[in-house]
Amino acid sequence: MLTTLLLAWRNIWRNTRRTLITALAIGLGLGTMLFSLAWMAGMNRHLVETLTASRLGQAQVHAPGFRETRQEELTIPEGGKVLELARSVPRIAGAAPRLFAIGLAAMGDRSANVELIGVDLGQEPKVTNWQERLVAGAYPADHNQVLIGTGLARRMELETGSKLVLTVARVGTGDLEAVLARVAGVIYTGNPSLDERSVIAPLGLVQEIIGLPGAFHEIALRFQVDGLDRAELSSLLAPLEGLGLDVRAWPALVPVVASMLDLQGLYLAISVVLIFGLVAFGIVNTMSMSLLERFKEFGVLRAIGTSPLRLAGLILAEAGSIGVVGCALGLGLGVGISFWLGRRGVVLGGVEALGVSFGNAFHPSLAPGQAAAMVLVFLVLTPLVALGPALRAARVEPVRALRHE
Amino acid sequence: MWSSLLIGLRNLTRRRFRSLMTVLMIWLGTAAIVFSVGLAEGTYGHMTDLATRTFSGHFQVVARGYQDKPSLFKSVPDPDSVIRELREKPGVTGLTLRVEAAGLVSAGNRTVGVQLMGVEPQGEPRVTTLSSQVGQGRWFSPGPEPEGDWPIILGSGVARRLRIGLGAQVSFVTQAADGSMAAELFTVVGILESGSEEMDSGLVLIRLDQAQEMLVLGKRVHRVVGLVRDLDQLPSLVGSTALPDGLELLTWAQVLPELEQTISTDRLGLYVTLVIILAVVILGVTNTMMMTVLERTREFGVMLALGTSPARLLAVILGEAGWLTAIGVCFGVALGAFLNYLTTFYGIPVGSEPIDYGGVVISEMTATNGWTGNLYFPLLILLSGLAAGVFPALRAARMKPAVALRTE
Repeated sequence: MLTTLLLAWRNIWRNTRRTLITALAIGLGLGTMLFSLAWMAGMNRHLVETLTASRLGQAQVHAPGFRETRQEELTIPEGGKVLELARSVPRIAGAAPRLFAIGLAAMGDRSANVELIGVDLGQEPKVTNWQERLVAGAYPADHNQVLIGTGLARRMELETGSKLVLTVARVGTGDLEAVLARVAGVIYTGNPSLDERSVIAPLGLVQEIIGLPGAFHEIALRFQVDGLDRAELSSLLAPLEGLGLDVRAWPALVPVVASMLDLQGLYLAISVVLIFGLVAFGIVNTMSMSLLERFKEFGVLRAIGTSPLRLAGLILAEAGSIGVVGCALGLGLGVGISFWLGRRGVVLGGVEALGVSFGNAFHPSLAPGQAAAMVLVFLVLTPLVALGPALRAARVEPVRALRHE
Repeated sequence: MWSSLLIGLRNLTRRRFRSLMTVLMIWLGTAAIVFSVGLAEGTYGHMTDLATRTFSGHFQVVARGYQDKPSLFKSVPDPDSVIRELREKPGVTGLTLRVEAAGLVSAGNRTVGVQLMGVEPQGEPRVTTLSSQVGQGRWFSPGPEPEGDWPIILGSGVARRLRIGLGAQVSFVTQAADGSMAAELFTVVGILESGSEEMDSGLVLIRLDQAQEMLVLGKRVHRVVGLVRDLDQLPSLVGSTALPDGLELLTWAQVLPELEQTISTDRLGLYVTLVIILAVVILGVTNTMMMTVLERTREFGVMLALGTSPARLLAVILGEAGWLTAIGVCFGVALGAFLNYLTTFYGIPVGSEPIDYGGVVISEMTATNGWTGNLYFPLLILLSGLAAGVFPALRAARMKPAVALRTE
C-alpha cells in the first residue's frame, strides 16, 4: 500500500509539467469553489445582519393583522405588560417598542412622504445598530430630535441641525397635526427603506402627535447570540406564544430572504458539478495519456508478477496524488483570496438586492467545515474519475504490451 | 494552408479517446459559458424591461438636479418644445408628460402621506404599462372629464390604509407652486395593483391637466418620459438631442441607478466566473497539445528532415488545436443555445417567492441568445484554444531534426 503510494508520487513527477498543469486545473476549480463559498457566506451574513440589525431585530411582536394592513389603530393590547414579558425571555438582549405613522416631512419647498418611526431611545440601541451607523451628527437625546437616513437627507437637502416639519393625521379624528423637529443625526444602514424614507423619532413624540399615548405597534427583539436557527428562535420565543399576538422570528418576517438562502445550496451544488466536470475531463485525459505512454512499462510490471489490482491501484494513487497537489494549490488559492478579501472587506456600491443595499462593506469568510467538505469532495472525486484508465491498466496483457511500440 | 488543416484534423483521429475527452471538456465549458451569459443577459434584459416599461420609461427629460433633489419648482417650463425636439428623433416610439408632488391624502378621519403623479390619460399607456396595472376600476377617460369631476387612482396599499374602495371621496392636500395650500376633493375610480410594494403603498395618480391646475403649474411638468424602439439607440439619442438650458436627458440607468449598478456588478461577477472556466478549459487544451507534441517528436523530426518548413509544422499543430476547440465550441454553442431556448418555455425560478433584485421584483429567470454569449465568448474560447497550442507548436517548430529523430 505504502509502496504504491510512494511509487505513485514518484511517477507523477516523471512528467512534471503535465502533472502541474493538471493540478493547476484542479486547484483553480477548488479555489473557485472555496472562494464562492466564502463570498456567499459573507454576503448572506451581511444580508441577514443588515436586515436584522438595521430594523427587524431577530424577532418581532405585533397585534394580529398589523403586519398585513398596517392600520394605525392596531397597537399591541396591554403593550406595557407584553414588553415586560418580552424582556424576561431567556437570553434576551433587548426588546424595543416602536410606533409607526405615515406622514409628510417638509422643509422649505421640499417635501416627501415618510414613515415616522417612534422608538424608545434607551432600548433601541440594544436591538438596532443605528448608533454605529451615524455618518453625521449624534443619536437623538431630546424630545423632538430625529434621525434620518442619508437618502432622505440628500433628497431634502437636510443636515445635522436642520429643522423639518412633520405632518401626520391623528388616529381616530384624522385631524392633521404638525410638529417641528430637528435633525440630530444622519445614518446609513444599508436598508433602503430606512435610508430613503424613514424619520426616526422619540417614541413619546410620535405617541403625542398621532394621539396614542403609551401605545406601540411593534416590539423588536434581539437575543444575546447571533445566527440562531429557526428552531432555536422559536423555542426562545415560546413564552410569548399564546397571548393572541403575532410573534415571528426574522425568517418569517422576510420569507423571501429565507427562501433564497435555501435555494443557494442547490445552485452551489450545480456549480460544483459543472466546475468539477470540467476538471474531470482533464484528469481522465492526463491519466489515460500517462497509461498510453507507459504501456510497455505496465507490461513489464505485469510480466514480473505485479497483480492487475495493484496496477489499477497505482493509477488511482497517481490520480489521487495529483489531486492532493491540486487541492493544496486550490486550498492556498481559495483560502488566500477569501482571507485577503475578508480582511479588506468588499463594498458593492449601489447594488441592491432583497431590500439590502451593499454600500457598507461585507467580509467574505470561509467556514472551516464547509471548506473541508469541499476539499474532501475534490480529493475523493479525483481518483474516482480515473477509474476508467485504472481498469484499463489492470487489463493490460503482458505479452502484447511488451511488444507494443 | 488547407492541407495543413486537413492533416491537423486527421491527426486528431489518431488519439480518439484523448481528442474526445478534450473536445468534451471544451464542449461542456462552452455550453456552460453560453448558457450562463444567456441566462444572465436574459434576466438583466427582463429586469430592465420590467422596470422601464412598468414605470420609468427608457429615458426622461427633467430639470437639472430634479432627479437627485426633487422639488415642485424644478420643472420643465415648456414641455411642448421638448416633445417637438424628441418626437422627430429616430427610434423614439412614445412620449408622455408627468407632474409630481408629495402630499397627504385623507378619507374620513384617516390620512396617508403619498407621492402624487399627474399623468396623461392617453399618453401614459403609450409609454408604460401603468394603465394596465389598475386592478379594480378604470383608467382615466381619454377625453376631458365632465365639469367638476376629479378622478383619482390609489395604490392598493394606500386604499387599504384609508379603508376605502372605488367610488369613495378623498381629499388631497399639498403645497402649490404659488406657495398657497392646494387642496382638492377627488373620487376614487381605480386601484393600482402593480405588485411593487413601494408603488402600491405610496403612489396616487390623477390627470395631468388637473394636477397642473391644482398645483398652479400652468403648462409646466416635472418629467417628460419616453421610450425608444431599441435600447441600443439611447446613446445616439443622448448625443443628438439639444435641450434648452437647465434641462437634462436621463437614461433609464440614471433614473434607476441601483438597478444599473446591480446589473453591472452582477455582470462583473459573471465575467470573473467565465474567466475561471476559460482558464480550466485552456489548461486542458494546453495539456493535450503538449502531449501530442511530445509523443510525436520523432514524427516531427522526420517531417522536418524531409523538408517540411517549421512554419508548416506550426500550422499543422495549430490546425490540430484549432479543430479540437472549434468542434468543441460548435457543439457547446449548440447545446448552450438550445438550453437558452428551453428556458423561454421553462423559466428557472429564483426561489419559492419572487425576490427583489436591484429594485425589480423577479420570480423567474429566462435566457436569451445574443451576440455576446453565443458569438463573442465562444470566439474567445476558440482563440484561447489556439493560443494554448502556440507554445507546444513553437517548441515543435524549433526542434532540430537530428535531435528529434534520436529521441526515444
